[in-house]
Amino acid sequence: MIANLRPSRERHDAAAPALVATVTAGALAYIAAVDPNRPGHYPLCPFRAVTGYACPGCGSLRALHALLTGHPARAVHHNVLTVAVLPFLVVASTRWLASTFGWWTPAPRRARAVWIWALLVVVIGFAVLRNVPPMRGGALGP
Amino acid sequence: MAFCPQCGSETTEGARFCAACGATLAGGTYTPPPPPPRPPGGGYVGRPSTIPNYLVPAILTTVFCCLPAGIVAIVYAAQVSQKEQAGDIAGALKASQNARTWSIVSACAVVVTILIAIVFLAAGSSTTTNFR
Repeated sequence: MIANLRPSRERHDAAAPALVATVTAGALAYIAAVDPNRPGHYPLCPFRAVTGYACPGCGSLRALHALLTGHPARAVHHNVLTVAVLPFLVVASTRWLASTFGWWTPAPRRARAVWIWALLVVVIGFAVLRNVPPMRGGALGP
Repeated sequence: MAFCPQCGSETTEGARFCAACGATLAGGTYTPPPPPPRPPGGGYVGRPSTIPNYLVPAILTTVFCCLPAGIVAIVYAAQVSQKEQAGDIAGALKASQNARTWSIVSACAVVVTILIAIVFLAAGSSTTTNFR
């Protein structure tokens, strides 16, 4: 019964990863070429537009741009959370691509619940700290 | 049924040598447990797969979408893992569905935001500022 409810890991449809990879590559090329520090090229974060506060993702475009143009320290300043989760995203995407195209079938791994709850605490803590006076505009950016 | 102690393959009862690897058999009296079945193609048929928790879209939403949807998706992702660990398969599947829904909601919100921005930029508005 359980087996029927779960998606097969054996063979994925290749269209979705191919689309995601193409869109990601295009977006990264655009972010590298068009500087988010200059106004007028990217939408304002909706959360920031409405509340005036920086959300956990604010500064992520500038962080990516800094990384892509070879300024890791600047990237950390813009959004340290983005830089911290990037390795995880890269590994997860690689596993997805690899299993899709059959290069390598990784064992299904599951993050323990406690780590995901810890991530939630970090994200919320980051969101609060970067908006309170001592840290606002400081080391936590954006 | 007898098995070769050397390579684990099945041997004829009473045979002196293993037909597969040639190892000397102790008169066919040695009968080890059969080796665990190996799934073809390196799959993981023997171990349970996991219910998707959509943690990657949740993190992407949180970091690149600037929306509270990411936080909600992380909560559901944690619930999937927690309930699955506790053996609550039905609850885990429900949380998985919710995590998926919130990932889709946030993805649509991002697309709408980008479309609105394109419209504003095309209209020549100078009030649109960057992603801050």
